[in-house]
Amino acid sequence: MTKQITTSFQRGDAAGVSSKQSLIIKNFFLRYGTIVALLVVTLILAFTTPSFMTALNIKSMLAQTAVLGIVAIGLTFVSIPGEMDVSMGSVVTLSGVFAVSMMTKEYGLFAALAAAAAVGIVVGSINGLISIYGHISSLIATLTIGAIIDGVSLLYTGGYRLYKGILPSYRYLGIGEFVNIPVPVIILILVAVLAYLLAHQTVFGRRLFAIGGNTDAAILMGINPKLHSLLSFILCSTAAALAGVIVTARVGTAEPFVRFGYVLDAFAVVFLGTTTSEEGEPHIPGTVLGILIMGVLSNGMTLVGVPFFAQNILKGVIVLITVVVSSIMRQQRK
Amino acid sequence: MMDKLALEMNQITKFFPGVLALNAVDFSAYRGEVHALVGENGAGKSTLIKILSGIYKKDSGEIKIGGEVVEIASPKDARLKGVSTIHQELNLVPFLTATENMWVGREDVLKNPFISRKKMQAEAQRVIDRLKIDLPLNIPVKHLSVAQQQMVAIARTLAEDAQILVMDEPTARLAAHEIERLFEIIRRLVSQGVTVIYISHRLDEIFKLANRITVLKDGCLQGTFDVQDVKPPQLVRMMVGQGVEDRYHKVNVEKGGDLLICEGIADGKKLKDVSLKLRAGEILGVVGPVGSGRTELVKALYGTNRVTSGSLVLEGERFTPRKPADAIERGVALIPEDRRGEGLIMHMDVSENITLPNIGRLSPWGFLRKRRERKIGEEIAHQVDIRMSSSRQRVRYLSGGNQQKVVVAKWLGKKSKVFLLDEPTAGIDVGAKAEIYQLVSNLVAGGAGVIFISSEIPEVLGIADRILVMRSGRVVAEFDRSEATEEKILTVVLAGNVNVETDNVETEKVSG
Repeated sequence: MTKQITTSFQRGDAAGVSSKQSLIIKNFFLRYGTIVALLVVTLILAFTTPSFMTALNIKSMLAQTAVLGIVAIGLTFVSIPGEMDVSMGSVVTLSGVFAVSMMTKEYGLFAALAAAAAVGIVVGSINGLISIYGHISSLIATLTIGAIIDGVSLLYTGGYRLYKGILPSYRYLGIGEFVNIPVPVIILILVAVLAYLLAHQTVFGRRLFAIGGNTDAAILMGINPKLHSLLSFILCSTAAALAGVIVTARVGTAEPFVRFGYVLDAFAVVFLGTTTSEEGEPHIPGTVLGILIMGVLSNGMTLVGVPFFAQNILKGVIVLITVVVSSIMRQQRK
Repeated sequence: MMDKLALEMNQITKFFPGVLALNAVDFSAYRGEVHALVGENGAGKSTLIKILSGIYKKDSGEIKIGGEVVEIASPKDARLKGVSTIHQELNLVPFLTATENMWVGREDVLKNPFISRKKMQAEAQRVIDRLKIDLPLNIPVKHLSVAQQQMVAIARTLAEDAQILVMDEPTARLAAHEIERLFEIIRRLVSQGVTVIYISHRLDEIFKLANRITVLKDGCLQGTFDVQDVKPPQLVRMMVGQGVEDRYHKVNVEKGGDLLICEGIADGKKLKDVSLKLRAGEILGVVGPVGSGRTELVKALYGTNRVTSGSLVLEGERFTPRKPADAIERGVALIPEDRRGEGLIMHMDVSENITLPNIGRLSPWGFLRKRRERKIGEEIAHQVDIRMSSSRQRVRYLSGGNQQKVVVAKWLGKKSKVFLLDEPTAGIDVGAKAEIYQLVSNLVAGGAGVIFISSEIPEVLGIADRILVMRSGRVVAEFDRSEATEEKILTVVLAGNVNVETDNVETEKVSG
């Protein structure tokens, strides 16, 4: 095995310079193709639709993307050790419902935020405990938990939407601006910076990546993969809970019936991000890049007048292409 | 029936990069004979078998099956030509039944797009009848014992109408009474005209079962003998050969006090009863066939397998590892057998891999200090002389030998005291091997103790201060460096009996 690999490498070294160059170009596009694509789309939009490059549009584009972005960053954390969470959409709804109902009952802003945080921590723990300690695939576990959470949202509200008593300070989180920047965007930036530090500058993050790279080896190095994965589930659900706060703060109601449709988009964003890393692993800068690409795409398609349903098809195609590219890339590395 | 040649392999030669794996080897087998193939690890047995079963392509030579010259292009092609191989790992689908397993991949033979259970069933029953065995056909094979699973594998080859059946160490995982039953089945097959090529490390089995024996050494044919014409010690001598050159520079290190003491440890499974002492500055070699419990021994010491009885003392204090972290905490390091699968994070770079077990200590408040970390990683990498383009090179792109150095290097920053090395030189080239030996010598020179597991006896002889031989989860012999010879060790390793007197080989061996 080892011998075969060395020889194929020697062969690669022995190949001509021109093929080496083309390999470099190929690798560049494999790795940075998504960045190039983002630039191209942005430029085309900027030059063809005058309304794109206005401060107002960019502001609203980023504000709209903030919720998706926070969810995607949460998802990145479960993806790093190789898990999955599809209950995020349900958590967004439930946390919004609980937060608003706290204000309806006049418990105040702090109680609303605490309720949302509690939803995130509790659901994340349940997701983690069931999938890790129950040895169930996290896809199945979180799918089931998601359905249960949907039920809880409906049961708690009786199916009615909640809007009474929402405090202006709460709405500020969704529609306010701070030095001319929408508050959701500021929150997204804060989340992204914290996530970057946690994933890429701490021991916890390093160990998460080690688990994702080779769980068996990580165990033999004394790392506890169960505990680390559990924490990543909690981080993920907490991010979804935060997103739930921002969604309800933006629209001013909590609607138990409205499905948060961004989960697939969030997966797409994380996938886009993986293509920018050398080994195809999820990472925070990649996810941030993916968020921007998704934001520009959605906004651009709306500006150009692509019908809503066609937008989904287009997005789907882009996600597919990315997934295929990323998988081919990984194949080539092996 | 033993009149016609079922198989002839003439002048088979096979090169691997830098190694002549087979040098013009002749091998033949009659219809209805059991032909044993013996030799040390690396002698070329597996290579020869893999050529026969279509996994490798020969570089030169010819193969005749039933007198006709054939080219075997793939494992499937081999099966179509009547050659079936039962590997040590049986390659069954665990959740399918015995019947289904016998048909997996051959459903097309039924010439029907829908699977006819009835037909499959009938065929399976026919084969079982032919073997005269009792086998539950309709429950998933994962519920069967290893011995029963092996029956399924054999039945499968018969369903394929195999004329030549290759069995690679079939008894490695069987209990004594199961081995007897397997032998009955093999004899029945042979009486029906099937040719069995039997690879085993256990000479007692070979003398019980085989008609002829072929010995390989270092890729060369040592000879083919009728079983009556040869005695076990002669075989051992042929397998070992004469004059093992001194490739190992044994550095003599002053031995310190007892570092690790095991008293009768067992894991309730494969590890039955092992007692050993490891002193500081000592290299303790452990040899034994696959399944002898040698890997389980290091797993127990490292906390991945639970020790159910016996006691461990490390540096004078009780040691009860329940998880790897416990062992690491006490200064025990494991260099696992499967370095890619268990030793390295392939997508991380050299420095990141080296510092990983130590990352908590290197990072105050849980925050990485990347510059310092890299400096330390680079220092250690240079210390063990890892050949890399830079410390940022991902370990995936290193050669096997350099990867192994990374695995060892991980523990240097941790100042580990007991190193458990499980087959550390498997699959790496000779030059890199010498460097690994050097590395191990440096470890003990620094006061560490090393348990060195290997399948290559010359290697252990070269490097170890003492050598333990394991069989069936027990230590069955211990040799001091001064008295150990390859022949003595191999004799114990190959013996079926636990209490073989090394001087008494002839009588003890055959009776076993």
